[in-house]
Amino acid sequence: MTLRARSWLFLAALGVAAAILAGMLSRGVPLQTNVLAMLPATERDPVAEKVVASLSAAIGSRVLILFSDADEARAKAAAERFAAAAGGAGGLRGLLVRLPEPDPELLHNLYAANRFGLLAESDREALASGRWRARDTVLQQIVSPVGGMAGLPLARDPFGFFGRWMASIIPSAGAMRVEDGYLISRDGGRTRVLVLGEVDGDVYDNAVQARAVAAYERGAQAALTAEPGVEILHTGTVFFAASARAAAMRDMDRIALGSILGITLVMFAAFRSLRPIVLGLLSAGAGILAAAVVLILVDGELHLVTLAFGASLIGEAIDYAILFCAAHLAAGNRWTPEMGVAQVRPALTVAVATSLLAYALLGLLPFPGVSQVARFALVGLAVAWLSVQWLLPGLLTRPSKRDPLAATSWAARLLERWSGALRGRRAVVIAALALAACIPGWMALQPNDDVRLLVPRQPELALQDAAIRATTGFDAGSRFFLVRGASEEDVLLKETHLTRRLRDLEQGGALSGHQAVSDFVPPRAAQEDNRALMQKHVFADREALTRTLTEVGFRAEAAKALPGEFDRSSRPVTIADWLASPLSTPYRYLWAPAGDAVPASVVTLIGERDAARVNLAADGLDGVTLVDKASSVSVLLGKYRAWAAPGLAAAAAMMLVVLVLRYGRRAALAVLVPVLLAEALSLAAFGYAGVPVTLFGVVGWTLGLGIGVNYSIFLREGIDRPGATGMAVLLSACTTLLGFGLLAFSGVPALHHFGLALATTIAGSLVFAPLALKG
Amino acid sequence: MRLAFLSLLAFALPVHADELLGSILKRLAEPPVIRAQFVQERSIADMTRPTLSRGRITVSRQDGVLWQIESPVRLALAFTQSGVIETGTDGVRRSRGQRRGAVDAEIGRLMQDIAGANEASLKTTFDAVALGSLERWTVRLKPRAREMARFLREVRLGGGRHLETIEIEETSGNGTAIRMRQFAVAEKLDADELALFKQP
Repeated sequence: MTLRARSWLFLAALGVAAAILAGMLSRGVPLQTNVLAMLPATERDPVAEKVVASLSAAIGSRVLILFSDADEARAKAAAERFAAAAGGAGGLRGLLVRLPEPDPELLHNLYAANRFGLLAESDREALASGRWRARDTVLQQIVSPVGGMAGLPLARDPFGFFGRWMASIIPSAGAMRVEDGYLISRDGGRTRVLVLGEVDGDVYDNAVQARAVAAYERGAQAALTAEPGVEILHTGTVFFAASARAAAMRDMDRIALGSILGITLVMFAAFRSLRPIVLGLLSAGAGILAAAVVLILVDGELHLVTLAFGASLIGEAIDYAILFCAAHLAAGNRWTPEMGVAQVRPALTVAVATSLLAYALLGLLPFPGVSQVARFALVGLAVAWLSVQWLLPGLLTRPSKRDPLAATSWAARLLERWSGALRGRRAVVIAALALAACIPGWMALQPNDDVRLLVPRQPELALQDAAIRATTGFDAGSRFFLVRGASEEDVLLKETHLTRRLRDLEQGGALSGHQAVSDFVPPRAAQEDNRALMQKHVFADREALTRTLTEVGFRAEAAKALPGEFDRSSRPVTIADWLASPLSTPYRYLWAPAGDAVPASVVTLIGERDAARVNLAADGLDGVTLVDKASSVSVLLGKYRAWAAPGLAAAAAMMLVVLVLRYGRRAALAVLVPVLLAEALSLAAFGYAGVPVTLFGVVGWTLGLGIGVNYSIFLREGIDRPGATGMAVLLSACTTLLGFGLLAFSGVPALHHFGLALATTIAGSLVFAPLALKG
Repeated sequence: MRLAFLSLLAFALPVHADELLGSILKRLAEPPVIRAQFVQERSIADMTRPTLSRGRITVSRQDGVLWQIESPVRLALAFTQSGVIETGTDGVRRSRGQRRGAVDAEIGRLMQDIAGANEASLKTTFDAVALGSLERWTVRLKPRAREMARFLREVRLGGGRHLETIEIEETSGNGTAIRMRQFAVAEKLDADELALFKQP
């Protein structure tokens, strides 16, 4: 097959790939923006993992909007206008300006008939202590100016047991008060009205996000038009996710544009021709195209981070084409494509082998996202490498017209001078000094595994979120307790052990509230205990009870009716009763979150103020686990980061094996030294700059190892053609810096750390590359 | 002489109702701490007779309202913005209404607002109408929000320099009439009283 025919065949294959990608694009790219989807399952318990998945939809879809004005009527009107306009726009549903009026009938139907098994904690303690006195208690109810004001008539609840129990299950309104159904807080002369709502669909779906944000904006616009000057704050996972997506898109646009512009300029300056640029972009484009098609076919979707990374893969893929074009320039009129391929093949192959090795190592990490990035790189680089051998030769058949000496002698001179500077003992001294200067930097290194590194929080939104949290006491809390047991009753019992501790925390201010099914339906055993307590201390002596009640002034029939009611209500309230009542609707997700077959429940937290103390609440409780996806992820990130040092060493060792096979022992070490020095300096730079060491920085150093060693290899392999080689190495480093290095300017902390680690390593590898010529 | 002239002037110029309410509440809110004896008569549905109780009320601008019943049973109720703290016969204490939005918390706040003459809060919670003069007035309070209107029909306050009567009419038909006398103004609560406000 001729060179040309092979090129055409390669181009045809690219055309097919492009057509496939276009077909995929036309059906909409499945672009995943949920960072949690990048991560592996964190919970050891598969039920917990399942519950996390089902609940994150319920919890993450919440939106809170707060309207504030000095004039109460205007704040309320703005809230109403917002809900009408935003609700009509679609994208947000269940917008709640006024809570529906609770129907006292429902409460009575569910509880009143069986109320003698329901006791508030304080009443249970008082009865159990034996110090409880019927006469004192009923008198206190009667003489308290507010006794028995809400709830059952005093004659039916003369001791206030049921009233106090009911008060204990009324849902917390956070720091807000419910007035006419409005959730309101007043302070500093302003009235704040809270509107609750939910996102209509998956919070991480592009289209859903766009619709939700549009609905919010439309509502806010309508509210401001009707009531100018009203202050509107909003928060919710969807807004953070949408802004993170927008930021990542902006980053990508900027980085891709910067890369392409910068690389074009550098290449044109060196080659004075557009052809190498076109060939380079063609080669890199082939790699990216192939990688995108293969991964969408295999994984079904592309992660946002993979795409951002793919944009910067241009930087490395183009190196191979640069090496080829530099050889072309240096060969002058002696050029034949076959000779060119033969010249660059050894260097290219060693370089690709080491890079693929480094990426393959990354691919082994059990992070779906990181593994996708690594596989993207593997496919992309392999195809770019093939393209240099099969595509470019056919497109670069004619020799360069420029004088090869004039075109490349600057690079040869530069290389000579630079290797001169690093010659002999001086190199050792410089390296030793550099390493010594690194030590304080290394000492200052700080790890950071916070999952928020993955999700950039837009500061303006974070401020609004904090303000809403401070005013309302509500948060979008993602932590909850999972309670599992052998049976329904067992789950409820275990829950009560937990809720007792949570109530203590609430008293102490570490928490504003919690939601638990056992608050609404105490375990059967507890209800029976309560009933037995009442039997023993209240209803044992019927005559004495009736006498006490009539003595304090109750009519005789009312006093006599009470024991009768007690006798008739022997059945406890059950989960089935509760589920059948409309009262349970807002809380139904708390029960059997993993399906009816698994007896389990969820206890959610409201307004955590002291997470450390809440963490301890499940300690020593059987069947109760705190599920905290964010911190599980952080722990996981930390675990992988801790593997970094041995991982890097392993990668370096594997490279050394390849290098020893090619160069022998002494020379192989010399080839590896520049990149190792660069990594040492880069680490120190992180320490000096106070940039935390994260898993993403580690990923950058791992890749830097693979790319940085290429420069040494290129030099070593091509030192007999110093002009072409020096130029190729310099251009490669520049393009990589312009590609990956620009990620250091990303607003996404993860990409920022990755880019910074890589850029510093690449720069260092370039500077020390001539050391590879020793040995 | 000057006082007589001033009161004549006050009588002669019809004060706007809202202004009257403001002046009444402002004056009530002047002393940092005020103590009084009270007699309460409570009528409850299903009871054959009203129940009389006696005790001491202490209103502190800063801490809240302390309701100490001495007969027929001992009971201390400390009403604060966040709820009611009860101290029973045997010294057993319990706090209610830690969860804001709960009825107890609302009632605690309500009592503090009423007895403490919290103008801003009363005006947002009730439709308030003041009648009479600054020396002899009555204020009728009707709850605005439906949550409170469900159990509270009307509250009537009466007095002169001090708040002398509170009448509470509940939707259940229960009614409470409280009369206060022997007022004494002080700078701050004593230690025993403060202890009753402490969370148990």
